[in-house]
Amino acid sequence: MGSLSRGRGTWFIILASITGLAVSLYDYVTPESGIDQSGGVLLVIVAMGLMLCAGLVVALLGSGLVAGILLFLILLDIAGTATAGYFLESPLLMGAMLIAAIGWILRLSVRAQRNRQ
Amino acid sequence: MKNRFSQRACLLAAALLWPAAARAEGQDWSDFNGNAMGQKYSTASQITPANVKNLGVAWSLHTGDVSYGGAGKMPKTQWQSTPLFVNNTVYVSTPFFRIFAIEPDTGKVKWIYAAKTMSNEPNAKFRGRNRGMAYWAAANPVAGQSCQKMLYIGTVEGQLHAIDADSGQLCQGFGNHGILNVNQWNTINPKFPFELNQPPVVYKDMLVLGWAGIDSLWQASPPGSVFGLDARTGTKRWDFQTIPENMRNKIGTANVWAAMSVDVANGMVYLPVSSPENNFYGGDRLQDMPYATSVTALHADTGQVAWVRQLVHHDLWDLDTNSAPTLVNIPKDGKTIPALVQATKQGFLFVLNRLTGEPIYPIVEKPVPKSNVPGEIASATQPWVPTPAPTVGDRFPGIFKVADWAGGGQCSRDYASYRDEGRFTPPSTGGTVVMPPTAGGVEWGGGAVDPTTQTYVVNSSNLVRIYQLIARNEFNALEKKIGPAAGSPNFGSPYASRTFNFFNQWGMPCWNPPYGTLSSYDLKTGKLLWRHPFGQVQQWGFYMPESWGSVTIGGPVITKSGLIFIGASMDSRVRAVDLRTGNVLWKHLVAAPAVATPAVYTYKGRQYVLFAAGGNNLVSPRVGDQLVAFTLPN
Repeated sequence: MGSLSRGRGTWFIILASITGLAVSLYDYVTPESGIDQSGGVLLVIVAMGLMLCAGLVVALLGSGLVAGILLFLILLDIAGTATAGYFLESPLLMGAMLIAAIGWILRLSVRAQRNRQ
Repeated sequence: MKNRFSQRACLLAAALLWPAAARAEGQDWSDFNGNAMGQKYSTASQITPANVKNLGVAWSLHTGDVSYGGAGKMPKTQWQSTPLFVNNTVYVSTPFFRIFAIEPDTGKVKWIYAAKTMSNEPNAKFRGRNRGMAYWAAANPVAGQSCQKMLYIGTVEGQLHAIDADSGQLCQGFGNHGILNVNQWNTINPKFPFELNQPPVVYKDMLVLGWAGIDSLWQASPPGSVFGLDARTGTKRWDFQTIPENMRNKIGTANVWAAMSVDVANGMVYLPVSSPENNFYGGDRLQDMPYATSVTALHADTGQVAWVRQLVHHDLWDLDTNSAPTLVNIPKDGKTIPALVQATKQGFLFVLNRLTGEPIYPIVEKPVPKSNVPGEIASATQPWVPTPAPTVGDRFPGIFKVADWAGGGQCSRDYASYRDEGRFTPPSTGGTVVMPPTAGGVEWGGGAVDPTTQTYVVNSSNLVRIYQLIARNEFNALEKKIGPAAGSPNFGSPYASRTFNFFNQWGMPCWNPPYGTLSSYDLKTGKLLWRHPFGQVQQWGFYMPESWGSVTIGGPVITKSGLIFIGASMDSRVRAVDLRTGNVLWKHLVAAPAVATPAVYTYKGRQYVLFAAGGNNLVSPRVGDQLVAFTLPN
């Protein structure tokens, strides 16, 4: 595993994906959510599952080409899920994606700092 | 002496004020439309624009009467029932034809009456849908006798049940031990039973009852009729036929399936009359049918016609007059005019003198496009109402670029292949763009009016459908090949028909938004006060921008404090809107689109707003069984 600082960013992403997964699962099964049983929430559940897997793999790999590709895909996942959260009118989901975005930036900034050193 | 005088004065004042106080305490919702005048207006004023943001759930009840559809199951239910609040009880009927009597402040069920009907049996052939009940109370009740207050609920097979409002038991003196077989009068082309979806309207000790049927299946189906019934016994006092006698054997419907309005003081009942069969081809009914697609005024005691105003001539678009006219007095040019506002699927608001049928705002006869279908002769002109401004525009609103792009230009290509010459372009074999179509404009919820300011509010949908006629032999071949997807057979007519929403292959509307609006008018001047997109489209759970609005079903209500309460939209939200500005002040998520018009009542000093959230698959696949009451915190 990479350095603690770099790992912190990755763990933010993992935490956000777990939160997003929990929120979307709750929304999917709760009739009062207004978006239960909907294709949009199902899409988010899949996206959060993929982000969780990718985050764990990145945490394990630390760096390298595969980790870089996965980080790029995670960025797309964050952007897509945040947009879905906006149209699903789910502030919790958007909040989770904000945390993921912070984690992603942290991860990137640590990497940039390391490169400078 | 002075003291005694004061005491007497106090007693007198109390006696004078008591009925008013009792009325205020009651603030009933005793009719489908609040009152028999179709106003949907409540004098309740506890909930105001300033405090409505604090509105919360007082109680919520799930009736259990819902079908989610699916293979081999009963079709999805349509719960469009406006609850009543009367006799210190909330009453609501369900799509399984049960009546719940409920405590108004707690939601606790007092009793349930279950009408036996083929619709709530397993593998039911008919859809479970219900729009509510009627309530009648004896003017001089006999103490100790039951059925001095009665509820009426109709079933899908033409049975009208009369129930004692206190006990929930059938009233044995009505019909046959409490059930009147209205279908006994279904004698001409009885292809289907009379569906008593809409409750009767009450006039003194009478019920005035229409019925619904099945569209576009048979040309020779039951011809439209309305019955005047004794409220106590169900005895028929009169009937009114909408189709000329010499045509009844070959042409059906032009029925009254929507709510009616009553002017008790003038002894009049107002009928929104629907269109005749075949809904889209009139070559077999070229004879004048003055009551078809009209608003017709009858003398309520006799059923004799007072006046009729046809709203679409030789209707080829299924533009049924579909909501109860709103009765209101309008001060204008120094006089008070007894008026009627008839909202329509066309989006026209016909404002008429309700005693004479004469227009208060001009109705213009405009030339309209000719039919190019052999045998059809479309009317050369159609009635047009420039003022008040129609709720729907006269022309196709343009191709929605997002949908066109997403569908690879399919919207543009399809549009170019259809016939579109604006309003009242007749259906054609190649497909005609129809806006507003049968499900567009103002639906059966109709409008609401504040009778003190003559402010009229109405929700309307901007829908575009394609109407296509299919020659009989072509249809038969198509039906063999693809089954029911071929369209509606219209047996007995040279043409079957197919109508569908103008969507791209992804289900996106091909026309520009907004898809639904809420409008307010000053009836004294006919001026549009405001119009805003209303509700939100929801697809796959995603909420589309508010500026797009939503298709709506179910009407608004107005309260004295200047609020509009309305569900109606696709997004399963109920809303409170500022009557003055049209701004949404409060919204709340419910279990399904609240396509029933809400009810407003006051009980034990608290005002409640009551929504039935049952859904209708015309606006959204989501259906439900939730009855939810909102009130302010203590």
